Amino acid sequence: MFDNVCVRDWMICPVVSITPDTSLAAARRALKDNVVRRLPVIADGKLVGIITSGDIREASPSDATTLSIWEVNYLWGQLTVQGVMTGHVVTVHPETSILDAAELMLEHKVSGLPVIDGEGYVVGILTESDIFRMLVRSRVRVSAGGL
Amino acid sequence: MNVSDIMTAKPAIIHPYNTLRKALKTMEEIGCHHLPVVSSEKHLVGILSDLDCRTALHSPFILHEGWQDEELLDRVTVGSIMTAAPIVVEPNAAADEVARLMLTHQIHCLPVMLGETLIGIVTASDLLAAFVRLSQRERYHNMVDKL
Repeated sequence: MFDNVCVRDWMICPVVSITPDTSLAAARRALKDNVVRRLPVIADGKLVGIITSGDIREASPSDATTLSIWEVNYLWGQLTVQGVMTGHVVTVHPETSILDAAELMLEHKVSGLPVIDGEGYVVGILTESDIFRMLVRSRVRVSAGGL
Repeated sequence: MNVSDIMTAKPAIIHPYNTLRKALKTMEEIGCHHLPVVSSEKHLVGILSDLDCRTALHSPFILHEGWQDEELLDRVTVGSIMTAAPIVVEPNAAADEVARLMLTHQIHCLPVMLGETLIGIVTASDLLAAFVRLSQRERYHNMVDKL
């Protein structure tokens, strides 16, 4: 049933991206405004990393910080996407099968894969949620031998 | 395929009065990212993710002394950083119901409850792995049919 389904069929495009020199505060706003949990980081048109809402939450000052609000704001303001993003990114091609993409997610323990075309440009993003949307849509049950 | 087919049965648990240090140690030992939080009366009261734990610690990108994290590890309790009253699922629910719940509520882990008893947890990775197994089986059968 899913053998002929490829990444292009379920990826999100166009994709919202960000540049490495963006402040973390702006990145957090971009995630919130676009209701997404990860942003590909792009420089000169090419993918250089990925940043997730988890990365930003982890980099944020703890609620239990002993620093003053002035210190926190100053230090937070110095941080950019480049310093926090994951630089080595696992990617897929639009024509990759959805099964191969899911295997890649499991193998590399990631929940999102930027989709790169033959010329190296980011054309979309595929996440676990997109695969789950596909499963929900297909509504296959036990009796049919599926999920 | 039902929740009981893909869940992790008898998951490790943590108590709300346990420390952040204990929670992180348990997650590291087991290699998991989520722990159901169970009260002394054996009631499920919450769920704790590794991101909840990391968020509670000081930002690794903001200058601080090592002892400050040490202090937090022993002072912060699981009950103060967990997600209380989590959404749960029954073991006989269809796997695609898990996908629907995860999509609707933007969550990655669901405790599996048989009545009042916690019998397992099911994560986004479990669901993705089930999808991969199913699709691999289907791909194999398609290949055999063609022979």
